[in-house]
Amino acid sequence: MRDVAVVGTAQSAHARRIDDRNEVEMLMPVLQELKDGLGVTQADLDFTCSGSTDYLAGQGFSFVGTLDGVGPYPPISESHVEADGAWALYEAWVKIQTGAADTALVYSYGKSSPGELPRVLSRQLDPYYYGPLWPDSLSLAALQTRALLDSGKATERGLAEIAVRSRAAAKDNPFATVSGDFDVDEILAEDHLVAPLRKHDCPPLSDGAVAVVLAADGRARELTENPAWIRGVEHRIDVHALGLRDLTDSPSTRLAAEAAGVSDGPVDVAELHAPFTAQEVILREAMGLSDDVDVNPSGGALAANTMMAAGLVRIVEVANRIAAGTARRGVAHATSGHCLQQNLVCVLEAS
Amino acid sequence: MGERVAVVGCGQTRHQATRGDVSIAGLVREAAMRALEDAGMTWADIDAVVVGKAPDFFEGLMMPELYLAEALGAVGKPMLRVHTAGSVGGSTAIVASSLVSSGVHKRVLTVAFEKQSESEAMWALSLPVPFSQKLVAGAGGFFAPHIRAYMRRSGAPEDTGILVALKDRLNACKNPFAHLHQPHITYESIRDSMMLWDPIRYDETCPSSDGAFAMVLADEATGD
Repeated sequence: MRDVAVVGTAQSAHARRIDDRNEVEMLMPVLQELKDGLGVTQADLDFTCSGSTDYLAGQGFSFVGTLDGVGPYPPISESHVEADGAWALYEAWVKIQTGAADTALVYSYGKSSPGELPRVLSRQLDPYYYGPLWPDSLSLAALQTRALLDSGKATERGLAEIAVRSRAAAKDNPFATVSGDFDVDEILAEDHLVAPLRKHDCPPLSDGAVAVVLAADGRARELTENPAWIRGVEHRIDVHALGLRDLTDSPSTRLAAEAAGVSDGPVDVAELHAPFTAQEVILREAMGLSDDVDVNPSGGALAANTMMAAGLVRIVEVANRIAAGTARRGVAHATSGHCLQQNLVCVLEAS
Repeated sequence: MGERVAVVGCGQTRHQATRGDVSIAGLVREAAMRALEDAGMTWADIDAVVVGKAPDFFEGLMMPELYLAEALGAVGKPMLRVHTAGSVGGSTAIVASSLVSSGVHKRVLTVAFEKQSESEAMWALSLPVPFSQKLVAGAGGFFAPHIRAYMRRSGAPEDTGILVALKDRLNACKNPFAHLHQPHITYESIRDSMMLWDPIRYDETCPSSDGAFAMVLADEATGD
């Protein structure tokens, strides 16, 4: 396998609403900042892959329009996944492994603000048995949280502490949608949103964009003095039917973490894509992270949850800390679908 | 570059306007099982699954790989979904092939499908975009200006489309999986069919089909 590294990253502020710009206008400054920072142009990037969903854009083929932000002329080698950018990064990593590319641009974005995200996400469900019931994403996360509380693996107070810790950590994250100091007792006294979820157990709605450049071997070292090497990147999927899984566990995360080699070395930092507080508990256990691992210093998805980008942002946050020298080895996780159905784990390391 | 990749099995469904006899899961399984049988393999032999599909509005199902995990034997395995618009059939095969040529996996099942009867394609193609001129054009409506421009630039004969449609539709009569079987089609019948988006006539236009195609791709050792 070739050595591939994250050599540059950029992200927009993840805002509750970005009303004054469309997807292309939202993405262009991010791509420009990334390319300028590395001193590259689109011509230097052998392959481009993006992640987004038509269901948020409200238009078929929406990613094609966003390619205008990349400047695809002369024609570029390009692909797209209708999923979080973490999977676009995976496709780009595979492309580089084939030898057909030495560098890749990966970007992803989403605007939740124009629609009702929880209802939109109900369209991800089996269209014959679940879809017609319109189960929204909050209600399904509530089912998972209820199962976790009933199992004794978590308490409402423990989940509130995760929310408080995450939003306090996000004070140092200039891109976060929500950050600040909250009091556990005060937030526990609030009414439920969808029992047993309270507002603090849920992610904010965010609009935004993120982009990275991957490079292989010597090309990575040419582009940056501090590459964040991808030592393992793996993804697995669990069964879709909710009644056929134990919602308090994440077998696909466990399999992906094992395959990616998470436990092959120390984990200085872990960025887990857990939009709901209960999911952080489930993911920590599935990945075998000990209690002393620094989880979500960026605030995680509880501080900023741009759909289709939040997973790639986790990889970015780990890569940035490795590049800055504050971590030597870290793990990033991304999820897709309701209740952690599909999961990707990426292990990154300094030179 | 890297590992050689072989197509060791393929299978497809009969393509028709409406496959009302199967769900989306049933449709893709039909193709996938034929491909596995052709390859002499079972679901357990597959390392990864790559699904390809054009816009989700064509079925009204967002990110269908999530729903299809069980149906395609992907539980516990890597599963990817490719969406590069109309080119997705080709791109899906490229991504699946890359997984083998890179050495990441040895045996990959790849399936591309559409079940457009579940939704309404003209609606799905005509959703209004803010600050853009609303066009109820359909795919042909967008292609027609490009075709006209090409014909004028290149001097291509006016009946080029008719000849292509005639050749393809007569060839289709030999393909039991093809949606359209039109043994009585002629140059004149195509020329006289309704003009939809000048210069594209009804009989020069692709049908809206439900169908799936699957392949099993494998490395050299498996191919041997």
